Amino acid sequence: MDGFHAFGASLASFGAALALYSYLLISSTPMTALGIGLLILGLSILLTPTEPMPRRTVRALLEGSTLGLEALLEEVDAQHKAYYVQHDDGRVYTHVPLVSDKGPMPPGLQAGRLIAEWQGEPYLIVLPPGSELVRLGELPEGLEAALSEVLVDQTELCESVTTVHRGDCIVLEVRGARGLIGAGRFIRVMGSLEASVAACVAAAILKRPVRVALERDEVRVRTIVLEVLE
Amino acid sequence: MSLDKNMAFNIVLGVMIVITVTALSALGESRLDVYVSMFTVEYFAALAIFRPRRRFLDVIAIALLAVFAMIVALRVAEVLAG
Repeated sequence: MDGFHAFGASLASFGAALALYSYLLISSTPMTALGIGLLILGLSILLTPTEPMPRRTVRALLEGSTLGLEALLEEVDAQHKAYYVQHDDGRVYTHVPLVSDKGPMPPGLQAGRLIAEWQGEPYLIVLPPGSELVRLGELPEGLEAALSEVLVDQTELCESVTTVHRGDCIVLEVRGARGLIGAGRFIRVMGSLEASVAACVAAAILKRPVRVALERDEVRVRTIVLEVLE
Repeated sequence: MSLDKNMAFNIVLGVMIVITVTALSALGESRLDVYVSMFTVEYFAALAIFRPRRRFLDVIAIALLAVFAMIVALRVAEVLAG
């Protein structure tokens, strides 16, 4: 919570206390009304976004960037699931095995190339849509807090997200997912937009390669399983 | 933060609330529902003029509308009951 919203919360709390005190103890209607007014104003400040760019626009930009990747993945006929790996420059890249899957490439290997070769196998190396989000340097500590910050607050891709660690997997429950792209190849290789951004965040926080292992849609809830690799 | 429409909305709303409380209390108004009705009208008027962005569902608007509807319903019931 930033200073502006903390001010709103304080104003709302003070207004509620003033209204209750004035109504119950001193029976003053104008003071009660002033308390209610301050409560409304405080809540209104709490509801006010502080970001200059509407999150809907951010989401649309992210969705647009997936369409370019979709065309590229179609062109190279990518079939295997991508690995999300953080490189030395702080960005998270996706390593997409093009022929056979031999695991994630070590970070930084043949960086800057679109197609790299590792263990005799070609890999497509591209920046996923959420790559720059994790470079902003303002992610909170802890995976769940970071995922909530990026998926809910920064991009509004979903309404809420919870995480459960199960061995080398992280199970995410994403409620009210809003990403609306019909990029089938992108979803198959890199996961849905929410899963892709979540994998970027996980790779950046955990400093380990991550892969979107599974996604399942239920009513308003999307379960995403991220596999964390060595 | 620049003074965008969101900030302007909050400033105008705050000014209107203070003016309303000052004016009505100066007139000796002692009915709380009059104050709340005025706040509701002001909130929706400012909302229509500034069209501020919201982080999520505008719960204040829903709550104010519900309270306003209740106040009107009680007044109508009072009139009908004579």
